[in-house]
Amino acid sequence: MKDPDDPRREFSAEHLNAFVDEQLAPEEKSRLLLSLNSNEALSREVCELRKVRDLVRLAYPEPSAVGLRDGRHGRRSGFSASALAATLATLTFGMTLGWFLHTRVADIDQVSQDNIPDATAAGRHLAGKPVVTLAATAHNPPRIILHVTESDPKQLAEMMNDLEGLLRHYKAQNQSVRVEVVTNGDGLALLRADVTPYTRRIARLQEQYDNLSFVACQNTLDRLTKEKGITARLLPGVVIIDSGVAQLMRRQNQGWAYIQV
Amino acid sequence: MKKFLAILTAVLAIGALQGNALAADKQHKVVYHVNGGDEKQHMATLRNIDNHINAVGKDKLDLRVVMHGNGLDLLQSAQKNKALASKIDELKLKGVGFKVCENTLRAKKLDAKKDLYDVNVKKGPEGDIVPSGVAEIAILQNKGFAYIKP
Amino acid sequence: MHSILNFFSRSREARQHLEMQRARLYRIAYAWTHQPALADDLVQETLTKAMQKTDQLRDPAASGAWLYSILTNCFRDHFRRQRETDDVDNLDLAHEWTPERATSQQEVVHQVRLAIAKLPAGQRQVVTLVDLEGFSYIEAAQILDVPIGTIMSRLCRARQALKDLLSLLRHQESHTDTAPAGAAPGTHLRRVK
Repeated sequence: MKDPDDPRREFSAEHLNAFVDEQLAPEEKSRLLLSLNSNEALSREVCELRKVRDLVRLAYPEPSAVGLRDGRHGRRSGFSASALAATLATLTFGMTLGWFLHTRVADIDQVSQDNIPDATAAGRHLAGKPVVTLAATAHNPPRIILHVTESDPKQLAEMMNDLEGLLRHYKAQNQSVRVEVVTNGDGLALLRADVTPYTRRIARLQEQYDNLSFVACQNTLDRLTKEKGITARLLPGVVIIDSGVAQLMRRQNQGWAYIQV
Repeated sequence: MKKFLAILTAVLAIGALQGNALAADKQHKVVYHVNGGDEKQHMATLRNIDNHINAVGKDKLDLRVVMHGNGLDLLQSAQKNKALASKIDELKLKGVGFKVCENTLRAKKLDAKKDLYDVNVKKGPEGDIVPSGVAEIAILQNKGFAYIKP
Repeated sequence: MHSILNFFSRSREARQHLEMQRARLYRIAYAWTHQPALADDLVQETLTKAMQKTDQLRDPAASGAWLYSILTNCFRDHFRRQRETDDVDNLDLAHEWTPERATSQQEVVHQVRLAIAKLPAGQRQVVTLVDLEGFSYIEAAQILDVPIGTIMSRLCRARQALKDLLSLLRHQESHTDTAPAGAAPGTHLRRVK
């Protein structure tokens, strides 16, 4: 098979992709169809492109085909497992041959540079987690903002109790919940590594619960630096948002419950 | 037989209408969130609530006060503070619900019957105790309750 | 009176139409982020913004590409305004697959999603818009606000990368040594489970 980057090729990779997506102009399309009839390598290339496209479609099922969530375990839509396996098998088979016949090592290295999470690292997280189907919408879990604006130790203590009670409450009912703790103004103290009394407790909660996030306000951070010369160090895992107030408005627009603690 | 069925249908229809009227949602739904404050502030909050009721009309208003964390002080103080206690009575007569957070009770080791003023400890929605005050506020917001933090 | 009623019913229709797009939007948002919670947020934001503009929209049926350009903006804005102090691996993909219970079907889906997640965002966006929603190259160019040439080159590179990644993942998964380049093809074919 010829190297697709070979300029002597009649049809570029762009041509072939456009053909697969029905985006080629009629004259180009006819020309290509003629060549496909006689050129087996070209046919194979087109076929492989179609397979990649089909795999993408299969990986993200049509919304109507997605089953309802059954607790935390999704039900699969009705794709034939063997057909899929066969598709992948042919693809692999074909590509294995192709890979050896025109060494593309350089291309493979290029791809692996782009910010790829290590596949084996992903493997380490796999054990024991239930399978999650792509649900049509995750609108069901209640979504709650806790807005922290003060650093009074008594209030913060109560707030942490309330937070834990809240998370435990939903867990006990086996219901998922999304909680976002947004801090601005004096409330930032909760998340500052140098002043918070809750380093370990927050770390524990972050580990125990999915869908829990702690948010710090960039504007507050900037003000702290400008007015008091403090460059705050934040706890690990804290999300920094441009503006706490803007975030609150966004969340309210998205239908989150708002609680000022 | 036909006549009996006709009457039965009519009776059921009327019953359905009445049931609907009783179950109809009140127009205005508000949750007041109390999680701190001293006695002076608590009194002020209760007065604000009273004004709110007078402005809207008690039959049109479904108003609930949810207390958690340090907000339980309101009902603790009311055990000794007669003015607070009678204001609470007044508001309850006007239909205000006072809900107490069970998490906080446990955390502060409080006995609802002994330490807090006039709490209905019956389980379920008629009682005054909710498993998590914060969750309760979120649930009410999802049901369309407006949120007020005095 | 008649025209006012018409206006409201058209608005309501438009809103209902938008709501029905939720599942499709979610599918794309999920394919872009692989974080269900974030995908839901982005969709919610998109629909809210779209509904605010609906009254200005002449023809709700023509809203397809327009809706996705709103999603594109929300997606871009999210990553522009948020940064985390630590590198947190947020991908939900890790939780999706347990070796003991995986069927070949789930395995395939998992691997394809992993591969898509590894693509640079620009390529990921193009290939999902074209393959999942069937947008034309011109529509995709409008949605992502890039020249059509960029669409075509990103799409080519995306599909090539997916081809390579999928073959690469299969090799890693087999836990056997990858054959050196140039070896006789017949001796190192992998069997699919």
